[in-house]
Amino acid sequence: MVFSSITFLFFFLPLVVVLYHVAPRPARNTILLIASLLFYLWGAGIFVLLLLGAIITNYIVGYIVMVAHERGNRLLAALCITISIVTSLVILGWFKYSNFFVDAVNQFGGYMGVAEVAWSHVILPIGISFYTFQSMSYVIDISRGKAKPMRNPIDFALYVSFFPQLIAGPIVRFHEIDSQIRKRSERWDGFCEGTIRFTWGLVKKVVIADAAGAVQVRAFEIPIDELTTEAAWIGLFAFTVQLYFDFSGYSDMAIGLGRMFGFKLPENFKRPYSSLSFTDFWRRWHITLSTWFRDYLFFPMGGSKGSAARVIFNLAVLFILVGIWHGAGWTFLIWGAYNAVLMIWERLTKRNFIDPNAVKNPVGRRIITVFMLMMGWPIFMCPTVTDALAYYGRLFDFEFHGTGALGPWLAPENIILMIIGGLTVFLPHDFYGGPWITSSSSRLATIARAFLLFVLLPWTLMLIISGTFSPFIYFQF
Amino acid sequence: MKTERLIFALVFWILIVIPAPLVLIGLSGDTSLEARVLVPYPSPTWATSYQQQTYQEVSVALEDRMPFRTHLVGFRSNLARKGLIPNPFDKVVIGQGDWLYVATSFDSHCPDDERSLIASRLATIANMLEQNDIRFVVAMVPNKASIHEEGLPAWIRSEHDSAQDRSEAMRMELASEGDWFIDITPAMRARHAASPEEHLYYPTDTHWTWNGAEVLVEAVVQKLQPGLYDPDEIFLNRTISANLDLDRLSGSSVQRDLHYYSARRPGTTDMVLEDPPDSIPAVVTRKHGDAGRLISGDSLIIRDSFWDHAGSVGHEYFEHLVSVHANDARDLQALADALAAADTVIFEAGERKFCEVMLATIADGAFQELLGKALESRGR
Repeated sequence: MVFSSITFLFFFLPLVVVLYHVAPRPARNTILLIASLLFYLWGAGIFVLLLLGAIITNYIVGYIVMVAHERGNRLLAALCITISIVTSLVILGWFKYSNFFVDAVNQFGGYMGVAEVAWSHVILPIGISFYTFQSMSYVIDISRGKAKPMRNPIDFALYVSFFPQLIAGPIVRFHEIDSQIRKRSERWDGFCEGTIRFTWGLVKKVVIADAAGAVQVRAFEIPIDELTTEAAWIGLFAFTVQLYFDFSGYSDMAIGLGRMFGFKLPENFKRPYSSLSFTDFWRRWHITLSTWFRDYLFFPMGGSKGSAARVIFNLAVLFILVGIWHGAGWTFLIWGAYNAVLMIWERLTKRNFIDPNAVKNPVGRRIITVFMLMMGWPIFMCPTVTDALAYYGRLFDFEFHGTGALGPWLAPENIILMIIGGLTVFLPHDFYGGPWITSSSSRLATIARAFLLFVLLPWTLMLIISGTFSPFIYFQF
Repeated sequence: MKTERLIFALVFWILIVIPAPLVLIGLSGDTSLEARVLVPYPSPTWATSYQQQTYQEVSVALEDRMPFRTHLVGFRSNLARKGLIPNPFDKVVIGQGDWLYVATSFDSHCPDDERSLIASRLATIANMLEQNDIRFVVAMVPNKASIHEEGLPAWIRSEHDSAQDRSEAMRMELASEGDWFIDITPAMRARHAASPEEHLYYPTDTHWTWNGAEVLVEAVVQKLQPGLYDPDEIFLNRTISANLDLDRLSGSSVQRDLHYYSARRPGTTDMVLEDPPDSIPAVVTRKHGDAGRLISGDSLIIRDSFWDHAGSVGHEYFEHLVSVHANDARDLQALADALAAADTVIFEAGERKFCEVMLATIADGAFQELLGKALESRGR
């Protein structure tokens, strides 16, 4: 069930909001938990058992760690934490990486003349990367003494499965939300802000991201020998717009939903395409993932301290892991390495700008950064390295024969929306649309909210509802 | 600021909350534009309650029942037809000047490996029927895109050209096998070239107008009984208002005129309609006429929906005609029996589904044997 679906928007969400706010305060977490499990069951079916398994296991570990700490048994606590983290990683590895691993082994075995490993494809449960990371955050925060274990299993289950951020983040570290789960105040102001933020995200996702997505999907579907240079660049630009508006729109919706229930979830995007460097980009893109890796991996490895060689090593490991977190495949690994190289290069050449006032030509820096980002997207997007190389070939063979098969997707609506999406690169460096439209009391913000409510929201709902048109073709045809 | 946010939240929640009660008490839900019934709610059991599919079915059922859905689809369709937004209706290709084409026209039909097989099997069937004094005619009705190319958008050209190459090759193969194949595509192209303003197909329907259908009727009648067809006998019989198929598939409920023609044929009269044969669902017509005014004997036409627009005239030329839709002719034994019992067999199929229909019927690998036995049992 995605947030932009009819089932969620018109049935699930109103029902949960009403039940939540009419219920007595002690019952509210239970209602959210039931809603979250139903939400996951709807989208993942039987894999809800895996989620429940993660909840139960980590709750028990947390409980044992708490008791161990109380009794001063640090060895037992450390052992439990280690087992828990290893188990989480093994489960995540099994579901997310085993297919890739076996394919790689078979491919290598093929070169060596070894028989293939028989293998049944493992299905990836949705959201497993997100809730596994949250579960690990719980255990690590407890082990570091940054938070206390939860005694109430319902509270803990809600932390792991809270539906607004269950399948696409933001990844909430336990110590960030611990107190909110136990006690929070639901205010009417917050509810209204949440509604505005949710609408903002919904429009970003359905109007802009889906429009750009239609162009991108078509461009990447065109057989490579029919793909023109123009179509390849338009497709790449469309993907750049789609990826940001889709993902950040989803995060906006999650943050808005959280506000409706009294939570303050962390920001996940800060207009990353306006970044001055890759260093700046990774502070503004999928912030909660970057922060997770920073706090739980990069800093423990030594972070930016130590010799240059050590820092380079740390950055390389960090970004390769970030790459394969996004997906199991050589393409993601290479994409991670590409980011690592750029980050290392910026650090060595001291071009890791984050302050626009300290840069001579900030607009030029933004354009260079976004161009270099776009150069990474084909490898991120294409299913294989060979496909990605072919796509790069089309981008740079400069054979201009018009937009070809991409034509019907380049209607005025899509072109205008993609241009609007692209122009956001040039907005002020510290301007963030989501918080602005939610909280600003400026006249411009008021006009923007009115436009959002009376023009963009109805348009979005029209797109969602009419998108279900499914005519039956007469058998006589 | 507070009031403004309050208004925002109120309007948002009114829009979001209203549909659910209407859907749940059954006050909304209209799929007539889609020519299908509402998707039913699933009946979950314990065994299916954990299956994702059960919940997907609930979602689809809810989507079908959303209020104002048809109106919103129509609104979006209008914008797409005007070229303002991309076409969200993938079953239809929106062309220039309000021309619509069914998207499957450009699919990869009649691939190389099927063509020779079909042609040779049809040739064998033709031989078998001819040896038993059964006249046999096969006609392929061209796609709208094959005739009215002027409305095609530029982006579909390469797919269209590939589809044309395949169809051309199929027609050439069939023509090389014998004169039982009637190739009406050149005649229709010539007619369109001679009077480009004349519509041989409806702009927003897959099917042809009488102007197009006449080419087939004239060619078939001319083939079976030269000199019988007289265009002066044709008249406009009735006009009905309908939601044409491509309008509908593109989300528009607009009603347009459909014209049906007939033939006023002095010297022929209708006879009592027979009950269709039990074995195959069919429409049966019977005529009585002066000598030479009708194609004599028992005729059988296996046809598709293009014949709907040609048949009101075409049926007037046969003494006894059994008309069977190709989709109802998939029982090969019954089909073989019907062919063996006829004096004349006509097979009409649209270009887009020609190979698929043939392979499912008379070009099926088992059909020759069945037909042989049927002919034998008929003593032919």
